[in-house]
Amino acid sequence: MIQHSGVAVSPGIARGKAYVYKKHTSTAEHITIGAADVAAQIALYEQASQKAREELQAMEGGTQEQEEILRTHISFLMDEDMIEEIRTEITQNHKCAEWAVETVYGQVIDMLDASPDPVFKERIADFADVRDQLLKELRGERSTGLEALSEPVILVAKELLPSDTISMDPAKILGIVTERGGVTAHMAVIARSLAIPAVAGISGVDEAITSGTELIVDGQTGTVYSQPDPAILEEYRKKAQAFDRQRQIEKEYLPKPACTADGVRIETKVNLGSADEWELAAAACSDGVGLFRSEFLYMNNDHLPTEEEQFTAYKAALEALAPRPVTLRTMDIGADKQLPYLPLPHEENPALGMRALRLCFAKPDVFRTQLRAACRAAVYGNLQVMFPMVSSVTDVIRAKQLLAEVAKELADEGIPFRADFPVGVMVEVPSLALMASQIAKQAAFASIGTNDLVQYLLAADRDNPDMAAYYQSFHPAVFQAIRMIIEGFSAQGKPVSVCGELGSDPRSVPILLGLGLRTLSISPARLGEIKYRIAGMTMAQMEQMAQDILAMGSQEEVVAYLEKQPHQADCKEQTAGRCDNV
Amino acid sequence: MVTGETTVRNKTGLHARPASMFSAEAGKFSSKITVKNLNTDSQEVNAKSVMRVMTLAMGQGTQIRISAEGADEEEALKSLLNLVDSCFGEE
Repeated sequence: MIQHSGVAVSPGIARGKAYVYKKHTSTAEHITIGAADVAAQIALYEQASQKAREELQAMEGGTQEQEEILRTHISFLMDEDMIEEIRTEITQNHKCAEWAVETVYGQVIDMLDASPDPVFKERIADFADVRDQLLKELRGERSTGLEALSEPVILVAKELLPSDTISMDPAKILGIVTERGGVTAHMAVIARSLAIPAVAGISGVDEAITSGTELIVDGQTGTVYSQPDPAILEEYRKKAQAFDRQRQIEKEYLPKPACTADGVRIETKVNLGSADEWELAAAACSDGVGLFRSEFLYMNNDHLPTEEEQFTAYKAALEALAPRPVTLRTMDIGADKQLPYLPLPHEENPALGMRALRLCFAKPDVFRTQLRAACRAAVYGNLQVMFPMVSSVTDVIRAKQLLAEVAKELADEGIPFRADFPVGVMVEVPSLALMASQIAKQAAFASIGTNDLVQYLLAADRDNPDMAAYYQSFHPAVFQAIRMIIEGFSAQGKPVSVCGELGSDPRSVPILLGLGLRTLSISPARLGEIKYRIAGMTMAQMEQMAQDILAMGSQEEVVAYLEKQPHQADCKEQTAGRCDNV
Repeated sequence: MVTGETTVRNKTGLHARPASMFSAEAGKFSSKITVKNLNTDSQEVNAKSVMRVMTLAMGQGTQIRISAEGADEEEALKSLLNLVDSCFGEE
């Protein structure tokens, strides 16, 4: 057995025989032509270009990504400047058509190769691909062989170009292993869209592995085993089953509204950390965004994000999700999240120091910019705003006052805005649990950030590995605090949700719902799984669990109790939630 | 001739798809249209050529200048600036 380590670019596990795909290298013939041959060579080039275009137009892109690749390649063939340059190579430099194509495409590839930005380097594959198509047409060659695979294989190649991935029959490809390409390369994008497990970044893989070798491709860890041992085979047989089951469950439950087994509707929202196209696509099957971490605008930047930059990002998310709500958490900078361009004074205890809302109060201009952007974006969808690190009623009043001032400013300036959206608090500081009913009078909703709440409640640094034994997410006090918050807010008719990790943990979800929560905000990747978990129990069962746990004295007791609960994976036949009737 | 400047804001910059959209949009106008990467002080290149546009490697945050000259120059400039500012429909 040989183990190769690469980069996981498309999840899943594949087992099968390798097919090593090697292309004849495209070196063009270099012939200097006479003046008499110029017209003929130009005609050859034009015919080849026309043929290549027809072939691309005839191909069907199975996915949106593939359609886009086809369109891009056609646009290269029709590029007026490239056509002109190729003609010039033929007419003035007397190169034959093959040589002219190679020269001009080579120049473009060299220029892209000089770019420091990897996104542009990855486009080299597109130009190389179109060049090879043209050279192939000029030589009158037939295509790759990938479309003619007789049995399903694991494709092993130095590199897969878009024309390769488009010509392959997805049903015949179990997995993909390449030397070149990263997570954003064409191969990876296509593999993910076709749900084919793939690993990239294994150097010399097309030499190291020969066709017919038994392979396992682990698209989770980026590991490839050739001629795997029986023990590894057995391990992966189980892993593959678990992954398939998981994917099946996710597929089945993801598009449905989340409901308990007895039909109680649970709102399942998502936490977004970058609001990029992947995240927004994943959010499509949610009930909205329960936590929009605005930090990405500050952290992936070399300056404080301007009002315009923030407005654009918030508006895009609001429009993508409308009419569902997007809950914007205002700047949560400080403690473990530092900005290089906004140096903060050294603190002995940064977690107990100048962070989040406190920093906003200390730098009101920065805060006002964000609030202005939020109010302006609110026009475009269903916005909610929440403040992190609130520790008193005064904090809420003060933040809302700033919001009112900003709204007045915008009104005076005649800029379109809304400021009538719900304004809530993030519950991380334990004081809010103790006086939840007071806070609930000032806040429209509460969202519990369990990661920090546990840290502050148990006085255990979440980032200190030596404190891991003290940082107990399942400590009964955590559930007591959550109960108090729910009671205090429910008494005022105000909703409560959880956006911390406890809300994404299948073990704690029934407890949270049993305590009275009806809204969870979770990582988009967990949506399907959590919806499935919710569907597995009745409200009465969850309430009983919550009652039992509230009576316990230690995390050990809680964990032992949870381990004794019937595992959902073992009772798959249970009736799913009956939301359709609700 | 009219010119305008803006910043590329979409995440991946003017790579394959946005570059094709940009050139296709430029191709709709009869005016001569050029684009320049101000960050690298590049040459002004033909905006109608997707290859030229891509080789300027205009990533996120790049300041660019678009110039148009011809019968429909105003319209052309406006529409291309709009396209860049709309982040090519990304996000």
